[in-house]
Amino acid sequence: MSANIRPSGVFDTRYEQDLIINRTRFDQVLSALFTLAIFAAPLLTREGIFGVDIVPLGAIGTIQRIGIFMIAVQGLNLLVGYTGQISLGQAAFMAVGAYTTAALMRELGMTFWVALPLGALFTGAVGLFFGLPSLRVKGFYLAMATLAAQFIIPWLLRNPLAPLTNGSRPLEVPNVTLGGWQLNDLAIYYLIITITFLAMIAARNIIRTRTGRAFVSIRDNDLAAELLGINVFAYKLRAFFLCALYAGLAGGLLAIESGSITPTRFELGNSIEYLAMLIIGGAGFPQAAFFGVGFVMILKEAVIPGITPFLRDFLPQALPFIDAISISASLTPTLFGLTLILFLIFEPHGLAHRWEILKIQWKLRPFSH
Amino acid sequence: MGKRHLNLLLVGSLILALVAFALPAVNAQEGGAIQHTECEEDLTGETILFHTFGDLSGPYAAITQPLAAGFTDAIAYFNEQGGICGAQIEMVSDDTGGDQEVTQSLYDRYSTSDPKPLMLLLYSSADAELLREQAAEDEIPIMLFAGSTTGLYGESADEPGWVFAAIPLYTDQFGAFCDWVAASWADMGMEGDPAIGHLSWEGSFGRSTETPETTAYCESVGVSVVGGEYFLPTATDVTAQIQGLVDAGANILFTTSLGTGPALIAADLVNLGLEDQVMLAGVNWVLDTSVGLLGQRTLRPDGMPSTDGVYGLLPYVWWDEEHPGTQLVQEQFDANERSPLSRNVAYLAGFGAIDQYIEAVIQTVNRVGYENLSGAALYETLNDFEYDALGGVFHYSFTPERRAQNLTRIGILTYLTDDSGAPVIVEVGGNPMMIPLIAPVTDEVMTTPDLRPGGADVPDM
Repeated sequence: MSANIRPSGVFDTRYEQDLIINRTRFDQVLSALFTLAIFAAPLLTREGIFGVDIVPLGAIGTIQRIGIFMIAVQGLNLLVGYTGQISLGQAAFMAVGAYTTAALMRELGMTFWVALPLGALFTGAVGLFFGLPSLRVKGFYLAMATLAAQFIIPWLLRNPLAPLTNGSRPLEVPNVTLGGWQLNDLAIYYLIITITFLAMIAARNIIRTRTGRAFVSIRDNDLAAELLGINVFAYKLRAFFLCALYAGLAGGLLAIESGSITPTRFELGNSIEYLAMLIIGGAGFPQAAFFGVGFVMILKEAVIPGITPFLRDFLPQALPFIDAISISASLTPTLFGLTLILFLIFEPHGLAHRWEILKIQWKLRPFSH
Repeated sequence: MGKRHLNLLLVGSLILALVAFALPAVNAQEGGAIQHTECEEDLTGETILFHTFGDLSGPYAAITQPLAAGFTDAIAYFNEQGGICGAQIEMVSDDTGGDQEVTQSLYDRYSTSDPKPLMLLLYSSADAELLREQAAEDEIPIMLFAGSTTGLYGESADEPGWVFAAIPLYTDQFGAFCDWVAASWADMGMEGDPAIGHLSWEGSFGRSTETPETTAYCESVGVSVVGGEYFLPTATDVTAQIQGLVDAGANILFTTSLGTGPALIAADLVNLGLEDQVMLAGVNWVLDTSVGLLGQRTLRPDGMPSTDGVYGLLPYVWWDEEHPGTQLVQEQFDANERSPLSRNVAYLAGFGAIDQYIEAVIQTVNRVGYENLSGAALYETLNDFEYDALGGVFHYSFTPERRAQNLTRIGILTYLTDDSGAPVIVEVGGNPMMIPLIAPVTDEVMTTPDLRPGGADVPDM
């Protein structure tokens, strides 16, 4: 599986070319337009400075959450997609990041700008601890070992750490300030989007470093990697650290986005959902987080609410055992599960792989790739 | 026990409405139970939206599924009666499935819709706690069918916000229960001094009653609290938790859960053979048809369901009491051919909420005019609001300092029996079913203590 498929015969001829992330004019233009659209989105709502109603106001929150979950899923991509390890504890790691960021701001009076990176680093350290079983076990057994994080961390947050976390009750997160000014919703949006862009670029670059190539070699054949002189265990731990660090970053951002946190936002179901987003996006591709999170979130927050009114009129008449009011909540898990199955069968490499193929088909038209 | 039988006799005849729901309902005077403020503006031709979302298919489903039916029937009924000053009411609703991400997403969609909701009706503590600050920022008042201290008053418990509760706070309900236990213990024939163990759902809702303030208050009135055990709504066995609390000295288990939660505890008490030694009680949601139906899966040695004799708080008038408001709802229930399984608190609450919404909107329109009707204007109305929904089935009373109700009675869940004391069994949908009854055991309405952190009734700790 390649992270950047190019047609046969297309080579880089200069070192600078090899360093470029977006290698073709098409990619560069597309990236620039996309970035511009994301940054302009809040200005094009009815409450934006232009007063136009091109972007629905409700979509701004969705874009923010897509950004946050992209960071969490990109972390998972580094571990699962590139290193071939598995983790079922990403939501728990997000909880660590969220609660650490909030606790540092509340208890020690730190500013968000210090608390967020410290929270992410601490989460990375927690990830290291839960990565230790990867020395001995792999595959299904490693998944079970990481599942422990999903049980232990929420229990710690609810019980022994309750004086810091409020236990099961919500923990209010202080407002983010900059130079004495409290950031408003628009500023929070730009903050989240900027951090998301930086996290995506960092992940893309990590993969191109010695560490990233070691990750890939471990994924492809850990025995061969060891014979090549790669310290497999050390690199696996680095992957767990990075995965958890990204989750901690996402958790910290989620905390400030919603203003309060409870352990119920970081449950096993969320961890599984992030893994599913990665599979749908295309594990092992740098765009996996973008495609996977974008697809699932748009399905959940735009497509399903969009078709629900029609289904509410139609379905209960066609199938009387269906309750009209629960259609929306029933559709989400049903379509989500169905999508996952269909992707595993028909598009196991995910949307990012399909995107690469489409680009090649375009370049090679009228010939088949 | 004498009082219990007396209450059963009082309500028994009315309960036959449930047994034979197809029979003609008691004829309530149409609109007689409900007295809205007179409209000063004619809104005929207008449409006023009513927004609500919550968990209709997750852990709360047992109790909330009929809520949607209640809203639908209530809106149809009130629209037929003229709506709000002639304006028709239209419901906008969604199901979160108990997922907080969905709650946030739905809130974003609702709060940015044009026009913005005048009010949101929610029924989960966790949802209210999540949205408390956002709703205040967006100036959307929330009416909550839950008693979350944090949701209403914030983490510091002294910042009344934009969330208003239709029932007493869970902390205050627990305090009222301790008051009642302290006063009635001698007559109950139980051994030892009263000692309560909390056995509730994990989460904001479940943990809401076990606080240092409630423990101090209960101990100050002579009821000890031995501690708490928590289980997930998906749990199928709580025998270890029960045994742990009983070993710690509990002879009363108090649960802050609903639907399957109290039914599971009651069943496991029977499985452990502790049903005669340990009393089961809970917050108001324990006194619900769903618990009465689920409790029939496990029978005690005397043939009665495990949930027979469960105590709870009763801050509203129950279906079977002779009240024009409940008779009106029963009439609509029958007219809409609803299943007997929907005859629960949520259906009642659906009617009560719509009635309250109409009154709040009328008062606001009278004050600011229809053109200026907004969430902020409605909030001002609710800040000083007194209304008996459905003529007194639900009591709404808010002040700038108080966001929840503080009146309740103690009630009991039991089952209809014949003269020999055997349970009456009817067929519903081809299945045998005992008839759950909910009856007050205290005649007087009691004022709940204020047990928020720093509350007026919190003893020195």
